[in-house]
Formats: sequence, structure tokens, C-alpha cells
Amino acid sequence: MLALDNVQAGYDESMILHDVTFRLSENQVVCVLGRNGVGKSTLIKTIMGVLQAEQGRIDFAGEDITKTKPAERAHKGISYVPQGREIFSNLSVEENLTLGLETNPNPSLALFKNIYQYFPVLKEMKKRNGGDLSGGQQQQLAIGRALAAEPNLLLLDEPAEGIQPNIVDAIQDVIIDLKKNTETAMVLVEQDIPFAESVGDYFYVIDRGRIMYEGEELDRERAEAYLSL
Amino acid sequence: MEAILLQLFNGLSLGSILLLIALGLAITFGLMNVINMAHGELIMIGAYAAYVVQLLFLTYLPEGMFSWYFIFALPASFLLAAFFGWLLELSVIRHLYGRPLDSLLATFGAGLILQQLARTIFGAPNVGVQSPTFLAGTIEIFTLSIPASRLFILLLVAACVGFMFYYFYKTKSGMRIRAVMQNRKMASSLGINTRRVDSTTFAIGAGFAGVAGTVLTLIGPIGPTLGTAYIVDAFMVVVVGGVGMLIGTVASALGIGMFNTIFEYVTNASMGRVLVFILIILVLQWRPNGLFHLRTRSLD
Ligand SMILES: Nc1ncnc2c1ncn2[C@@H]1O[C@H](COP(=O)(O)OP(=O)(O)OP(=O)(O)O)[C@@H](O)[C@H]1O
Ligand SMILES: [Mg+2]
Repeated sequence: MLALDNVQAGYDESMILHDVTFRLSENQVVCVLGRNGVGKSTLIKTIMGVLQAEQGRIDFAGEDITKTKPAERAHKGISYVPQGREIFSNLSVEENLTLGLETNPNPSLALFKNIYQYFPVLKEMKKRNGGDLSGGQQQQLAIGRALAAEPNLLLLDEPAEGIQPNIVDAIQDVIIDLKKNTETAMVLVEQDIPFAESVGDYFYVIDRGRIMYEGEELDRERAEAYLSL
Repeated sequence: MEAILLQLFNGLSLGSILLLIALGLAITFGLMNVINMAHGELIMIGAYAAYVVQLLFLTYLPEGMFSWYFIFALPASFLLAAFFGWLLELSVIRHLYGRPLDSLLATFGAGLILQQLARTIFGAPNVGVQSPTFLAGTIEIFTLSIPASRLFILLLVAACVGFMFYYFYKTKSGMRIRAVMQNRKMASSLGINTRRVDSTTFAIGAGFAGVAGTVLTLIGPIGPTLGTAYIVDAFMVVVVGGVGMLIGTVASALGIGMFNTIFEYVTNASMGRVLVFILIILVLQWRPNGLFHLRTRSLD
């Protein structure tokens, strides 16, 4: 479904990702692990198209998307929950969710019901500005917004980072539910290794912009060297 | 008492004209952060659009229909100025987002070109546009007699502001615009075509400048340099109001209009103007980001 071949990407002068080859098939949950600053978010941004690959090739659903803009990729069914959430703080919660419908081929407000079921706090605060929400609530909003698109591929960049434990649980439950009950494929960047192991079908471990380990199991012995355990 | 009421109305009227002049700029500069020095020339284009529509009515339609020209001039000026704005965005500004100094110079140049274009087509001297008869007289409200054109401008500005609020805050495309202006990358990641949003937003801002131009034909003669007289006022209104806030532009225009009229009443025209500038400087000392400012909760 998604294939990166020998991708190189980075910011201005500095290349961060080197020679990344990455595969994800339908319905799969692929976890990306690695220490801080090794290039996990850079990989996610390159898949979304927020960053353009300098070299290599990216295919999605049988099409070459290497040169396409994020908007086109979104219309092909990729949704993105960025690290740092990036909700629209001057737009209401409801408007943020409505923007998620932008790429949904069958947009319907009924979808919001599901999202509100996952995250009841969003319903309570739907008229409030996104910027009035706490960090954890903003994270829920960012996930809700991505789900409103009913994506084929959901990119989640550290969805549980810096959030109080009960919201982390709610978010993890949603990810588990999506895996069990929907066809959504996911790329999940995660620091919580036990959780990653519980939902992941395949694992990539990155270090300094290169893929150092990959496999269906997270072989602790071999992966440990690249993780801050 | 009557004199005071009349001054209040004059203040409101001046405020409404300032607001109309600044409305388009509130979009192109306030929302999109483009220092658009050609804003005045977009106003000028709108004024000439009204002039042309008026000429067409004079030449081709029976005299009884003449006053109707104004009803056609309003949309015509909006569309023509929007078209020029669209062209300007496409050819120049598109390449200069995030480079304020470059876009300042480039749009200044574009403004000069547009002035020359007007001079070539219509000649350098000012031309007068005959007001429609229904805006010629005065209207009695209680004991005040108010020029009909001033009252009309007030209502038209209210309608424009109402439309703008509705468009930006209640429609889907308004929501897209606000999203793109806030976080371009994220908006694109959600599937919004940011190029299209940029060009329509700029065109809409330019269109409002055009409407202002048509209204200015009610006040006096127009010429190729019409816009240069208003550009400073327009920027002043937007900056004092707070960049990015429509509501701020409204408050600032009405406030400046009011104070200007009051100061002129108690002193004289030039002294009044000086006092207004002093007031503006004080306001900006007190609130460097303008009266209204977008508060955003920094991400924790
Ligand atoms: N916008 C940027 N401009 C320049 N360099 C950047 C930018 N964003 C990240 N970097 C650099 O790229 C490298 C990889 O960053 P990235 O955000 O991909 O790491 P990460 O693995 O997601 O880390 P974390 O676990 O902290 O989120 C870092 O060295 C970082 O300093
Ligand atoms: Mg990261």
C-alpha cells in the first residue's frame, strides 16, 4: 500500500533521512521507534509530503506520489496527526473537525458521533476555540480531525507524548479499536514500547536517519542498542 | 444638541468611509500579511469602473434609467478590481509570500504601472462621476438633515462588513481561508488547495477595494492617483485595529473617524489631523499589536 524506496529527506542544507526503504501493506499497523532526534517525525512528514523527498521514490496505493503536495496525498486517503498536534487554535473545535471532512468522499456530520464517542470532551467543548483546549484535549482533537477523513492510512506521530495518563489510555484504546474494527492502516511513532508491541504488526527502528532494524517482532536484543531503554 | 448630533453623524460617516477603504486591506494585509502598496490603485480601478459604467448608461440608455448605473457599478467595480487583484497575486505576489520587503517594493511598482495604465486610457486630469439622483438630496432624520449619499455609504459599509463576517465565519470557504492563514502546512495536509485559497482570498480583498472606489466617486472627482491619497489611511486603520482581526478594523475605523471629527470640531482641520496621529501613536504605544489581537494559547 505504501512503499518508500531509498528515500533521502531533510531540511535545507542538512539531510536527515538516508536511504530509507519502508513498506506497509493494507490493514497493517507499522510502528516506528527510535531515540529523540533520529528522524522519526522527518519520516512521517516525508510520507505526508509536508517535506519533499530529495531522492528516492514514494508509492501509495499503486501510484507514484513522490512529487505530489500534501493536499493531493490527503485526497488519496492519507491523514496526519502531527507531533505537536497543530490544531487550528483560532477555529472552534467543531470547525477543526469539519476541516477533517475535506478529503472524505462521503462527508457526513454523523461521523462526528463516532468521534465524540471516542472523545466525549470534544463534544462538550465543540463551540470553544481550539486554542482554549488543554494539551491532551488538543491531541484528541487532532486525532478526531484525522479520523473525520476516514483515511486509508493514518500517520500518528507520538500521539501520547506529554499527556496525562488517563488521556493516554483513551488514545491507546482508540488505536486498538481502529486496528480491530476498521481497515485503517497506520504508521505509529511511539515511545511506549510495550504499547507499540501490543498493536504493531511490523517494526522499524531508526537511528541517525537510517533504518537499523526491522521485523515482525521487536527483537529486544538487537533493537535495544538503538532505543533508550 | 443638534450640532453635537450632526458631528456624531459626521464622525460615523468618516469612520464608515475609512472602514470601506480599509476593508480590502484588512484581508490582503491583515489576513494574508501581504504589504500591498497597490491597494490604492485597486481602489482607483474600482472608481474608474464606476466611471465607465456611468458613461455607458449616459451614452446608450434613456435618461430615466441613468440613476440605475450605480447599482451596476458596485458589482462591476468589485469584479474588475478582483480580476486585477487576481492577476497581481498570480504574477507577482505569489512569488513573494513571507518576504514583506520584496512584496512592498513589487506592489509599489505594480501600483505605478496601474496608475500609468489609467493615465493612458482615461488621461491624466481628474474626471467627475455624476451621482445618481436618488443620492443627491438630503434626508431629514428627526431634526437633522443628512446628505443622502452619506447615509447610503453608511448602510453600504454595514452591508459589506456584514457580508464579510458572514463569509469568513459562517461559510466553508471562509473557514478554509482562516485555516490556511493560520497554518498553511497543516491545512494542506488536510487536503486544502492552498494556492487556490490564496488567490481567491486576495481577489476578494481586491474586490472590496474596488467597491470603495465606486463609493469614492460619490464624494469627489477621481483620477489616476486617487489611491495614493487613501493608502496611508488604509494601513493606519488596519494596523491600529490589529492585524488579522476584522473586528479590530471595524473598531479602529470608526474610532479614528469619530476622534478625527471631534478634534476638528474643537480645533481646526490640520490641528485635528495632528491630534489624531498623536492619539494613534499613543494607542500603538499602549497596544503595539493593535486594539484587537489574536490571542493564541502557546502549545504546552
Ligand atoms: N524544521 C526543521 N528544520 C531543521 N532541522 C530540523 C527541523 N525539524 C527537525 N530538524 C532536525 O532533524 C533531526 C530529526 O528530527 P525529527 O523531528 O525527525 O526527530 P524525531 O525522531 O521525531 O525526534 P523526537 O523523538 O524528539 O520527536 C533533528 O536533528 C532535528 O534537529
Ligand atoms: Mg518527532
